[in-house]
Amino acid sequence: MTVWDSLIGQEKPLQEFKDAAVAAAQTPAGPEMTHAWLVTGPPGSGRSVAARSFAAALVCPDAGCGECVDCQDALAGRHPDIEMVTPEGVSYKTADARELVTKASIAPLRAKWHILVVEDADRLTETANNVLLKAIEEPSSSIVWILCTPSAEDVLPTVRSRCRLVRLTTPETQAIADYLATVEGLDEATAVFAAQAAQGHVGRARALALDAGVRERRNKVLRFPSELGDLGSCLRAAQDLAETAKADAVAATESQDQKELADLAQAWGEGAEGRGVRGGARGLKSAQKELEDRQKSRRNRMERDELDRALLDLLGYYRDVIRIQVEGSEGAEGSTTELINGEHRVEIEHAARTSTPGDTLGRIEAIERARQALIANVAPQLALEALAIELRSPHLRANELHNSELAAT
Amino acid sequence: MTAQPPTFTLVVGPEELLVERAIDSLTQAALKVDPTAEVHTVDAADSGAAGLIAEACSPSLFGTPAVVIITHAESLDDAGLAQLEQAIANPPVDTWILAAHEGRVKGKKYQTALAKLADEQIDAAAIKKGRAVNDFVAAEVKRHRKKMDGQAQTLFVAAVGSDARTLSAGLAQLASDVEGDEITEADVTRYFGGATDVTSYQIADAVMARRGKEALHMLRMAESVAGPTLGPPTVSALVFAMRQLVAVATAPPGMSERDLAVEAKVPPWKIRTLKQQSRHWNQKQCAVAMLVLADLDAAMKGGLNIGDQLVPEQKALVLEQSVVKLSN
Repeated sequence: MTVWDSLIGQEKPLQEFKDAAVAAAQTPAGPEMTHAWLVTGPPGSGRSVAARSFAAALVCPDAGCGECVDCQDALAGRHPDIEMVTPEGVSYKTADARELVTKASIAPLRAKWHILVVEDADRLTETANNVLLKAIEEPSSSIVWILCTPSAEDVLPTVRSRCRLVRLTTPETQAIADYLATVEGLDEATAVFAAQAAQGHVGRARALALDAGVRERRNKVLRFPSELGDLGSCLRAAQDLAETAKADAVAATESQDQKELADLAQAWGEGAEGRGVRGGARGLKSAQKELEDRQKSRRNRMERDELDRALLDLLGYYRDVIRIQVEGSEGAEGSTTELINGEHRVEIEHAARTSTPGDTLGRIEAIERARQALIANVAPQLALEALAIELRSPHLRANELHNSELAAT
Repeated sequence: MTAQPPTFTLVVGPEELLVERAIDSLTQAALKVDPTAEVHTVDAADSGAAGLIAEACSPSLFGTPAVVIITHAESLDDAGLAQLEQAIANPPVDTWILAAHEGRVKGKKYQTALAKLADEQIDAAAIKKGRAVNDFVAAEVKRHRKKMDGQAQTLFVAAVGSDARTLSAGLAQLASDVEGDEITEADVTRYFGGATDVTSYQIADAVMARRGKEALHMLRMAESVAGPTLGPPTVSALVFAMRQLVAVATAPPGMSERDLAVEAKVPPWKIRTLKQQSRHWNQKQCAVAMLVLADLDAAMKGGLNIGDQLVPEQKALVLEQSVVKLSN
């Protein structure tokens, strides 16, 4: 076992990290250590995992043996010389960045390096970027910055130019399946199914493989197209999907919400008696309100993320449909065409036979539009209703709303 | 030669609109006599008002004509009154003075004293009660050189209320938009009928009944009151109405009204209305309407594409276009 076990399907970047870790572990250090790294890659490719593994390798005397205390602590997220920072809210504020910079002046306690990992660095505001820039530009000799973003364009060019760029790619389905089979110990069929269904998103593949609830939700989403009959059923199906997403978001956040509220009340001295308590109660109320607002926005975001995943699943479904429409259901040597949703082959082949590629493209466009609508903060149920209608009649929009004054605005 | 405005004008009464008009007309008259005339305003409630009055009313070095406006004359003090009396008794050339007094009990003696000196007294009594309001409306109609019979006036007052500014603005609109000499009851109804309390649900009802003109009219009325905050509630009212309509329209035939009410999640009394409305719609039209509404919601939230930032005017336009499109 090494620290790299969880990094899947990334041979080239892996080698870069390994070489750097080995060089950094030499005494005196080998080639000059790079003090700022920028790890990029699509969602689910393992940016945070890569950053954590690399950090573990740097604090390990053996460049990532996976066995020593340093490795163990690092992977468990409790090593004193590794800071993993994740934004709680939607963006990193300047104050957060300043705090980070202060931390960056602290010398390592146990290891050779003090490592600061900034997850989702794309959420740094411009001023926060600039605050970090100074620290990244002139690092103290024992500091290593690791910034993670979806693409190199997500940080300011001035920051980018001072970082060594490591690009992760979307992992191959086979690599994910192997990982699920060997590391997570799943049977071959489940591993392959989850890897295919997740379309290169490792975290999603794990969730699909391990959590029956997630699988059930996905099946429900994939049944969505077949539930669309008359207009009434379209609206019902949309309502159903929207309500499920909402309930899931509530279920996922409820216990955390309750705990946070209880902690807050305790911090404000709820139930205590004596002087000043009444004044404290007033402060508690406004603090509670603030916390509830934050929780609500977190819940909303989770609901929308959930729906976006559902829409991605639907997108995969129609990609299968168009693939069969274009390539036929059999490959070159009589093998069946490989599908993302192999377990729904019967319905997909039926859908492919009963519609044209033009229909399918219209539907794919509608799904993209619904995803955009969710980003634009359209009421989820309404966005899904429009989607249901467009999936049922993919040319309705083009025929009825095309060239209208609405399309122009 | 232009008629000289009165040297000292006293305006008595609390109705700001009328006071402003008196000030305005004096200023205009003065400017006609000499376009270089300066306007000085002194608030009698200020401390040291007496000194300010003396300064404003003294002849200027270059003989520049001046209009001196004294507001809140009820708050004058004796020194201020003495200065004012002296200025009025020996006015410098081309100086015109106007004092506005609230006309209440406070400072009554200053009103009496000033009234004796006034060349012209203007009434600015509060327009509140029925008679005064009607007289005001009649005077306004005359000012705009129009005619309006008693019934039309009553209807107008009932629709607009008794605030002088609102009345005046409303009449100005009517007078400029009505083509003939006479403003009729029909004109008033057309402009102000149902102006108060248009709710987004009424707009939605009109859309569902395909009464496009009425829907647009109500929307405009509501816009003039609520401004840009109108969008979101109207969109959700329309979406709700559409969902209910679809639920009723696509229910299996022969379903009892009570079951239907449960199914469509509407109160039973609304079923009949919905059934009536659903006669104006087929499934395809409903489907298109839902797409229009989804687009509209995106527009209300700034636009569908990343980086879109529609301004309020654009949003209002999309809202109107959508209402027209939906109800036609």
